[in-house]
Amino acid sequence: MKKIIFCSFVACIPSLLFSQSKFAQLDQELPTPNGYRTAGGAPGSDYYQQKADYKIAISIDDKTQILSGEETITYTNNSPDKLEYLWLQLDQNVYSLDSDSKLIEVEKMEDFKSIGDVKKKLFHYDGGFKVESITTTSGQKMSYAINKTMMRINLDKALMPKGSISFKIKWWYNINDRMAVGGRSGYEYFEKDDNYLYTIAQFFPRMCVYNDVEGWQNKQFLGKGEFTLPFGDYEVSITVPSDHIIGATGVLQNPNNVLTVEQKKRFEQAKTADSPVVIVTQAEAEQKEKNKEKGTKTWTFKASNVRDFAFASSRKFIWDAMNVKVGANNVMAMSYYPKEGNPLWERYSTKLVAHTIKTYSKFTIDYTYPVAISVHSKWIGMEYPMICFNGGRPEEDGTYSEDTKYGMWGVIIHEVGHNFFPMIINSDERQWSWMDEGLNTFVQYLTEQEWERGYPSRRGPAHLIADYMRGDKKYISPIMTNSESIFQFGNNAYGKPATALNILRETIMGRELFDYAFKMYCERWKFKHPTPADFFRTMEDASAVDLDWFWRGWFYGSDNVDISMDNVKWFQMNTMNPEIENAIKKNQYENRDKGISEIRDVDAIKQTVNEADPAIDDFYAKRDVFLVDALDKKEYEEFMNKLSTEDKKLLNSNKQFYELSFTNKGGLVMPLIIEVTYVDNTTQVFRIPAEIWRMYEYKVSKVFILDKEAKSFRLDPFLETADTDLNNNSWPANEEPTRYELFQQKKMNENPMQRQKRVEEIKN
Amino acid sequence: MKLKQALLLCILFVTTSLSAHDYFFAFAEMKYNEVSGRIEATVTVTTHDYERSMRERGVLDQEISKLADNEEAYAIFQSDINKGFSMIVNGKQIIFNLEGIEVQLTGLTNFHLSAEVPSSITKLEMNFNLLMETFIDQQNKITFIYRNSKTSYEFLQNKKTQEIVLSNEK
Repeated sequence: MKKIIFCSFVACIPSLLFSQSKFAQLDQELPTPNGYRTAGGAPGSDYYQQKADYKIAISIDDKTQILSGEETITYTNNSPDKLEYLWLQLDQNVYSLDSDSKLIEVEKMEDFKSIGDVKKKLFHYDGGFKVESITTTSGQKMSYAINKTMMRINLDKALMPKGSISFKIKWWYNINDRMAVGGRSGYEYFEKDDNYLYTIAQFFPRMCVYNDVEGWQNKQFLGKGEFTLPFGDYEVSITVPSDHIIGATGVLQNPNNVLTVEQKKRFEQAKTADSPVVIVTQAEAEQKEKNKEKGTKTWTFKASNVRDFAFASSRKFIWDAMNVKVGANNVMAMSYYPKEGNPLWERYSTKLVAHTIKTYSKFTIDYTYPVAISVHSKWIGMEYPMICFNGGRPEEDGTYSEDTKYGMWGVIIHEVGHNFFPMIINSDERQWSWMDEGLNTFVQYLTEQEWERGYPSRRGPAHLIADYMRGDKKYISPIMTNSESIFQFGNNAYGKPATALNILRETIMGRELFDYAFKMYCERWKFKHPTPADFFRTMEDASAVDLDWFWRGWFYGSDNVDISMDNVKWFQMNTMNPEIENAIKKNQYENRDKGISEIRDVDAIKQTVNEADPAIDDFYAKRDVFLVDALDKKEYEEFMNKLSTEDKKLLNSNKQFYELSFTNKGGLVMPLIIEVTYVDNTTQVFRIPAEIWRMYEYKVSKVFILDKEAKSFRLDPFLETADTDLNNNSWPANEEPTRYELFQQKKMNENPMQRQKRVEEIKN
Repeated sequence: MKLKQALLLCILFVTTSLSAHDYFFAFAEMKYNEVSGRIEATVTVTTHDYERSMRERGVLDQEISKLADNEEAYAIFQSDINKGFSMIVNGKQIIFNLEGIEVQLTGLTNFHLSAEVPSSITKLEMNFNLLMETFIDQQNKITFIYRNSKTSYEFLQNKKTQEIVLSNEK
């Protein structure tokens, strides 16, 4: 193991056979900078975005679960282009009988194993939009064409730059039973008290985005790739049963018409409260469940500079609220939930909303909307501007498991966090899910860690993504893949980008550089439409860290991290002092491995011939090769005389040299983080930037000059690179236990059922 | 006979859901323990995906954490996991024994399994279609550890079975 090096200079001839593809700049992958978007990742001097303002009046029929509506859209063309037609999104048509979403499912006969499978495949629910009319504001019919989830309105006269147009649409649709049909919105029916809870979104024809990147973003809605919408101002009137409570995007305009005196008083109290104030109590909600009113009321909300509108309505709602101060803004954090959500919801929801907008504001931009709402909606999590629908329901007996609690916490933080990505930093979800889900999951992780120390976050820490990243690359999509074509949506669009950002923050850039650049991206693109290139460029431009290799590996590629520590060679400096070096050689000779015959012959052969006859041994036999003679001393003296004082000090420093060799087995280059443990059990960490791989992408070596002798080396000791195989990360070799082995190690002698039986015995 | 059983089970049915934020994966870590002659495995699923699948298939309608100590439910879990994570050796299915369930606060659940296999084993056939019946986007993966070497095998809707050869090379 121990080798001797000589004080000589060895000229290294670099291999000519290298490629730098992993470190090639992203010039070809990124769009050419222009007047709309700069090379530094900021909006350019010509940047523009369209505006879509809505005045909507809708009603919900609580008996038929039909939503009917009429809207006036005013669309302003801020682009330099003339528009011959307008595109609108009819997302609800994903539930039309002729929807492509079911047609594109891959099927085999083995999918029809039971009558339930057959029923499932034959089940048809007609939930698409029924567009009744599209007219000008003066009532003239407009020509239009519906292509699945998209609708084109043909303009008699092109809409010129800076021009605007207003038109009316009238429609209705069957609201989906979310518990049976599924969906991001819909209704939940509570059989016990015969009541409905509506969480309503994508309920109106909405303008598509038109921009400098794609023209009209009119890619069909197939189910996964969510929404991309222009900003605008909304005024929405919602007519529902008179005993319903509504939570919605925006600010309630007519509290005097819809709230009781007591509710208004409590609402006013909540505006300055630093803990939740209950505006509608559980007892009041339960009373309404039993004694349903027959009339209707119309609630009116206004919201400025939002990209969408959603709401929730039910007579079952308990409602609480508190004030949150974010910068100069006062924000109302609010929750709406049925009694079935308690005791979890009354205790945590609004506090989680408040914590989320405060923490996100710290890492991104100040939250500027007036309200932030969490609505309890069994099983799902879905986001809209200022309002989101979240799962996390206790058992009927009011108990809940710890994982239900963490599940509820996580989903509320995540969905409220979506206010920032993509509601304010308005990326194109239909194209790139990771730009909102990934960035949001990353800040969700930071927010969870500030909620509770050691919070068991599902995503963020690098080692949690390793399972996903290893394996056949054919079935692992690059992050830069369109939302509809992604293998493993959750890991690809949420987990991997969140992990990548966490690695950038903790390992590649450091917190200070990362946080500044990330915040800069958010500031630059708040209330605008960023693209991936804008994000990649800003992160580099604001930090002076060349991250092209990182984007290429983590976002454009599907390689995984598996760096093995192949070999460790130990060297010590040759002191050239014959007294020292010969003693070492003698010691090595005396302690060499001896063969079995040699060992046994020591006793078995009493005397050899040369031991008995002194005339046998000649000069060679008598010579002591380890003896330091006058010539050795003279040569050493001459060598030392040539050295400076500094050289002599270095020569006698007892430095330990370790040459470590690494192989990049997974393909994804990462920094080398190496922890050395010395013989005295102290440790030291070395961090080698990923650029060590820039010329030699698959094999590198590095020499560590240490003051003390090392006992062991470990690669990635803090699990920060997402290395998929830790078994090749240690010297001496160390096999990591499997999950099964870890489970066996901590398993009690009795299984959980046996333990439960003992608990029962104590009770009895 | 099979149809009759299915009819009893299928109390609920749900169309292809468009709800947001499901996860659609299951991972398994498997190792051949040459000393004990057993295959040891941990199947990891997203808890709410698995709970939803159990609910929609009419198998169980409660949280896993509430059922992990329940003897009857334990048997149902063992049966269900063996249907979605089945091992064929020499043409015969080897049943995994469910040795423990760990519901983690991160939202993942581990099912720890082991099964005795013939000592002459050189290859095994794995069918890992867990949750694929419920989620069309489900994708599963096994990482097989043999003599300190790890190899991964992917399972998709159109590739539910893979042969695993016990060697250090895939």
